[in-house]
Amino acid sequence: MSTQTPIAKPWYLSLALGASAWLAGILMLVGFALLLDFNSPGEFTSVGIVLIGAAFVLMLLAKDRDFATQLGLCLSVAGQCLVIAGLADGFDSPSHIALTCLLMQIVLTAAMPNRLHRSFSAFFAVIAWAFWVRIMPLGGNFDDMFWDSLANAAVALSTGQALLWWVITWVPVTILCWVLLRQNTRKLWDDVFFPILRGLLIGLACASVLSNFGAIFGTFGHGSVAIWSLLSTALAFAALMMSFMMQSKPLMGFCIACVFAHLVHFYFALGTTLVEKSVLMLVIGVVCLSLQQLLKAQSRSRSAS
Amino acid sequence: MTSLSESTQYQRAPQPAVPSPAQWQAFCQASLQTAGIVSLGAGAIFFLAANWQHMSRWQRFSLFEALFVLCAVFAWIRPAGNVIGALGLTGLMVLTGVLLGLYGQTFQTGANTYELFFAWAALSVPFAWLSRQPGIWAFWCVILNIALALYAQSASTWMFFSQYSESINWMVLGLINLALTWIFLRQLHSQWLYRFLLVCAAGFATIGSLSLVLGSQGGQMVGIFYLANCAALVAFTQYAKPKDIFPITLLAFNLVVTSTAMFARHGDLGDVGMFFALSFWVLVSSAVAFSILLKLHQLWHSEAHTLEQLQ
Repeated sequence: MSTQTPIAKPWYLSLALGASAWLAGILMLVGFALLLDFNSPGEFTSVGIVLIGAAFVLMLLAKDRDFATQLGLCLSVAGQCLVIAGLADGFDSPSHIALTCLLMQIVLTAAMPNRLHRSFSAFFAVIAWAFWVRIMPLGGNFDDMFWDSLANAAVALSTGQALLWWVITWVPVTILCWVLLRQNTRKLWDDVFFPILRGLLIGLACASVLSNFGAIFGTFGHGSVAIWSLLSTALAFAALMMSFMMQSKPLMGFCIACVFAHLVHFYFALGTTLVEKSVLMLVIGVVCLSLQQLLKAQSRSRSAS
Repeated sequence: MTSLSESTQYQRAPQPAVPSPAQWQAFCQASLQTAGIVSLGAGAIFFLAANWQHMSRWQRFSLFEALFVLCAVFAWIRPAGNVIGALGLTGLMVLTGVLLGLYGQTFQTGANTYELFFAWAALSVPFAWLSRQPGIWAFWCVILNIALALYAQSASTWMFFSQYSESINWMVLGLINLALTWIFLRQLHSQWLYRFLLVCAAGFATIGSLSLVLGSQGGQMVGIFYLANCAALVAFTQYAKPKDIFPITLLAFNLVVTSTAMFARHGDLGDVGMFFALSFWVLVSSAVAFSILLKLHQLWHSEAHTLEQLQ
């Protein structure tokens, strides 16, 4: 074969490999659940930890071997699900469950010697973080965290308090993304910073909806609560800007899709009338177009001078 | 034995270079303009939705026809390459569908939903043609695909294939999308539109193959259509867009999904054994398929590089 030149690995191959590993992991999880017939949280957690450990060893030995890497990802997915099931069974407090998941994802992000795994773990860490911060003021049980945002409506926050919690949740994630983006250590960028940043940006663009954060605040408040979907749109926009700085077209496309998804969510969000939403959108539109005209005028005057 | 990917020398993620002020300027202007126009459009739609019940039939039609004329004026006074002109043409496309839907709702024509979408797609062709924009053509393709998918679900026949199952409908949809991919690749040279349509084609073919494997109906004709879809995807890498692994990546994914479904349907290993076997099958088939694809990608890239050096 002719002299090999370095080429970029196509993103869609990584995506397809990740999707296959996830599918295999879920199937393996069901297989383990049927085979071992777990009875206690300890059994769930211990088997899960063993699987994650096996995944770590496989990935460490695998280097770039595809099958071993795939098997490692698959074992890790099954192991993480079992650990979370054990936590859900063992802990009463949802905040403890969310915090433990967050810590587990942070450890996996740092420790797993695989770029795809790091991206997945960083993404799930963002979701766990959003859950944890959400549960801190609201409480609730494990099922409510996922399925029933209305159940927490009894703990009403004012719009101002809710905004404060939103800032506490998402500003640190945005800052972390920015800090990672400014890293310039070549070796660490390739293997550590880039995969983590990829996962964090995906989380920033969509985790506010995935963790049901916007929806839960949309169920109570004092008339302006649909703004949470708009704030999610702003987050997706921030992720879009950082994707632009990374020059990643697939990530940019994903962020644009998330912007539109948040806008649709905003249309259906309860608690604010359609007329109010309409006025809000018209004001935003006018502000954006005015800013764009201002930039255009500035660039014209610069080129003229 | 070394793995296939070990021989592949891959460049890792590029360190992001700080965008130049000019790039930032262009990005910010484009983002703000798009966000502004989308926000104004959304605001107008929300306002209409809020007042819809209070509007008379005459007011509804007048409003949308006035908007239609306004969009036509924008499209007329601005050249096709201009953003405002393109948005005017997009508005014309959207309003065509809205007016058709409003007509159907107001006068209760009794038409099927797929007929509405087919009419919308047909009447929108001139606007998409005038725009020459990949984004607007992508929108048109979405309308056409919705019409075809609705037809595939509601109608049980495709002219000559009345005796076959619904899976053949999905296969035909896949082939139609492949034909569209080929046409647009020649006309517009848009990479993302090409990939979008290929994903649609492979998606429909996968739905068709799953419907064949998991359903009870089938037949030799379905198999022939499935092979035609697979062959067309491979042909793209040979003729339409030579040495591009994207179509065969989709084909590989389709084969992994279809073979897994086939295994699940016909395998008889007991509950526990079946889940482990399926898991390993997914792992092995995907690892093998994607290793071959990676090696092929490297090989084609090296050949292209050598050719460039020779030239």
